[in-house]
Amino acid sequence: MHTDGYRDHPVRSYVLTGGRAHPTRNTLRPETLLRAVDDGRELPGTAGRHEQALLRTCRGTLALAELAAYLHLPVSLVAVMVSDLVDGGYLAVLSTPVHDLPDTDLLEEVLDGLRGL
Amino acid sequence: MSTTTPARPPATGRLLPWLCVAGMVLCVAALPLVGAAAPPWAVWVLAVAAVVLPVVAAVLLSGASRRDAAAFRALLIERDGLAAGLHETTQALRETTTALTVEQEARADQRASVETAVVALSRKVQASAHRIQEEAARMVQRHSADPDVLQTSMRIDHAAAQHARQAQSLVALCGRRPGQTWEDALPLPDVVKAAAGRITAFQRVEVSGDPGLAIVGRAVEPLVHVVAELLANATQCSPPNTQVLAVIRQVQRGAVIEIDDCGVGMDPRELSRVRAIAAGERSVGIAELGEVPQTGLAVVGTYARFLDLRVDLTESVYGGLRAVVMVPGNLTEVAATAPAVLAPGVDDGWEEPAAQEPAPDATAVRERPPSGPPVLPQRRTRRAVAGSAPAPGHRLPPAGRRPETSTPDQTAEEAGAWIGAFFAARTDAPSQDDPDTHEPSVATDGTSEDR
Repeated sequence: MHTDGYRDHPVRSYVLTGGRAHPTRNTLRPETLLRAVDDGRELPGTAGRHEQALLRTCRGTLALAELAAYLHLPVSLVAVMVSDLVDGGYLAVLSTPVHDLPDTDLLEEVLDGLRGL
Repeated sequence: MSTTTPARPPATGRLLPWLCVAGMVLCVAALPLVGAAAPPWAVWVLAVAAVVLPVVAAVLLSGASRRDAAAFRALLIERDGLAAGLHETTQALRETTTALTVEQEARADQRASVETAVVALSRKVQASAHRIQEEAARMVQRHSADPDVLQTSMRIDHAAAQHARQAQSLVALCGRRPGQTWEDALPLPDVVKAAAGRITAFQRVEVSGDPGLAIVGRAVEPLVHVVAELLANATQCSPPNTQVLAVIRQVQRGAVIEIDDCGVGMDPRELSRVRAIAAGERSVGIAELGEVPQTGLAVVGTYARFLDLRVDLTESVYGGLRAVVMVPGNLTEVAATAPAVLAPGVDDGWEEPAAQEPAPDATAVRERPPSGPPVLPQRRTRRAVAGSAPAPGHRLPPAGRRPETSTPDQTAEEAGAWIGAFFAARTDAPSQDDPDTHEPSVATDGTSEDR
């Protein structure tokens, strides 16, 4: 069933989060960077394939919005699943301190450099 | 019955003539013996008797034969009457049978047309429920960072899913296959999760066990519906504060889903009745539902016949009922390790860059040295993608399975590695490693919600 971008799936989103739509932590923003914690811990048996797929996708450093795009899911839904995994210690949030952000000139230079590639 | 009642019993009627004949023979035999010794009157008497007795016998015999003939004729008439009656009755019976057949055919036609109408209407209702689900998904996509919108969307989605299930139950009770179909195989735990999403108390369902098996596409929808009905029964028949346990196992001949509730069970007579319905041995159509329709197990039975499932209901060790569904091996396959799609969603034009480029270029990009910076993903509008879409009639490929030309040269790992390298380089000055970039809250593992 693919009409105009809509993909249906038998498993509904509310089942994945147990009906919760609000993440357990309110610090998650679409640009928040995430990375799977690679400490050799296995996910508990109750964790489904969905949590495993999420962790597998997030083996590198990805922003929440990117993660959602790769999983083809809404950001708000991924935020709930991600915050559970962060709570469980399976995902790490990389801080993006505001004062440390490069200034606009540097960003523009980077953009020009990227375009030049 | 008999209209002719003979004056004498037939035995007497036959006996008297023969006595007369015997008397005559005696008289004729006695004549020479009597001779001259006897008085002449005795001779006369004997002679007269010898003459008269045969006459009497003849008269009697002819009377008897007349009576017999009359009785025979009466019997013939009676037989003809009976035959006519029989003929009439046969005729009436035949007419009644014909009328009954016509009536039955008319009823069957009527029932078939009613069922067709019910199926058509139910399919419409189901389609509109799915449309509601789609709109809810689009709403989330438009406000994709708003949890309140997600909450509302989930409630709408949940209500519509139950709505669609009830409509599809009606279709099943009319003996038709489900209207919804799925192309891709679905892992067994996801089948139970999908089923849980269609009942009211989905939060009470606890799934355990993952044998790494998936259900083939054509059986996904019926099986999800079967499990949904069994879960619905289980949650309704047990206290609201108890869990319903769904355990998935692999067995020699396929896979088994066991559903246990913690209710009070069922009395044996009722249990044997519903077992026959759930196993598909007793078919329950839409006309047999009765005043308080209990559609769940009838639907289970219908699909059990379609898919050759073995469904059984027994007493659970938890005190309630245990429903066991055996899925035959021809409906299962080895599950793919990475699910392509996790849940419903709306594609908003996310495409890999190589998707719009010719294939050789894509391979060239892939063959770049790994040290080189990979290409960043781009967002393109749906319209642009639709403009470059393949030939008409060819639907857009499912998002999970891109066409070969769009082989993701930029996987999540690569993108992640790239951003990771970017931040590592940024924080190069303080330290090569980035332990200080982890948020402190990571240290509070385990104190938070138990997953």
